[in-house]
Amino acid sequence: MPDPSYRPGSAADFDRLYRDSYPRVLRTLIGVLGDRGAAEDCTQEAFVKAYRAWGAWRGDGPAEAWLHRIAIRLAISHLRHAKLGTVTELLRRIGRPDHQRQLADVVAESDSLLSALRSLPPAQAAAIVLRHHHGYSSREIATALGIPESTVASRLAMARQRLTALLSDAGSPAVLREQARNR
Amino acid sequence: MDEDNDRWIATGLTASFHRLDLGSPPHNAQYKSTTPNWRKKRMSLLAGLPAVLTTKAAAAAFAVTLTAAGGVAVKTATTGSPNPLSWGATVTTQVQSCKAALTAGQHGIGKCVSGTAEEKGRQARTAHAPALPSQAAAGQTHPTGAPTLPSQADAGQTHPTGAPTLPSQAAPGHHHPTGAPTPPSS
Repeated sequence: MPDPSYRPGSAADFDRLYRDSYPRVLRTLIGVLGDRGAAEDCTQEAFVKAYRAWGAWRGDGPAEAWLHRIAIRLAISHLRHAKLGTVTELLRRIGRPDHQRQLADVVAESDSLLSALRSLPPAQAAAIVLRHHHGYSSREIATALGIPESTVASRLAMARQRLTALLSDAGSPAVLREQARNR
Repeated sequence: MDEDNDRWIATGLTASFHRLDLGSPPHNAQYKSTTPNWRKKRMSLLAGLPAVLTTKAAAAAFAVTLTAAGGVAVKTATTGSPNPLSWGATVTTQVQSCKAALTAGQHGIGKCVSGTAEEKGRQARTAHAPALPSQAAAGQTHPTGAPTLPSQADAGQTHPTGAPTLPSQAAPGHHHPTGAPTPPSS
């Protein structure tokens, strides 16, 4: 699965990769993190990391899938740190007049689908966005998640099942059909 | 049923991201202000290149050239052949003959080998000297032949104007230009 459209070590090609892939990587991370600001930070950081390693990229797969892999790892790392820092953050914000997070950034709170995605494990959320929004193949998802291609299908099935359960109140077609059958 | 569900997820995601109005990627990308590892390596190599060229590489190249040129000159002069393959055998033979010529208690064959090398070099220079067309035709050793004068060529004289004669000699009976010396009258 070589990607001849990008040459490793070429600054011009990396600029092109940035222009082409930034919006897609950002959307994947919004799906994983549910926070636009954090997703933008992680996306920028992913491009910095990718640029540093651009000379050593072997080109044995799609460049964007490789970029997604870096970005998803960063997002998972960000979530771990966010969990650890939750208590500290709450204590820091006590007493401040505007202690609420900016609603524009907390996209998941105003969107049921993104909110449900945020509740999934990060790798499963990423798999959903990669397959159903970006149209990635199983091989590309495997590259992006750093897992064997044979496990992609089972990961996706599990992610869909969880998402359906979480969206039962939002009225997904499968849930509505299931509810109608049970009546 | 799965297809409907998949389509619903895809449509829902597209609508959700569309509402966010993400737009185009920002122009002030952070990666542009960083120097990647592969560029650092390239830059450090380029930065060190002049220094390397002016010191180590230049010295090494000079030494190699000098050694090779000196070696060729000495060995060609010693062996009489510019062919490197014949140098070793010729020098070995010379050294052995010089060692054999040493008398008891005498040390050092440097002068012997050096003398042989000089002689060989002289021979090589003579053998490889450029020949002129006149030489090739007449077999002469001097390009213009031995110097001769027109009078010599015609009369076979050894002196261009003949043997020197005195006027008194030309007129018979007089051996002295002013006559025979007479003793003063006392």
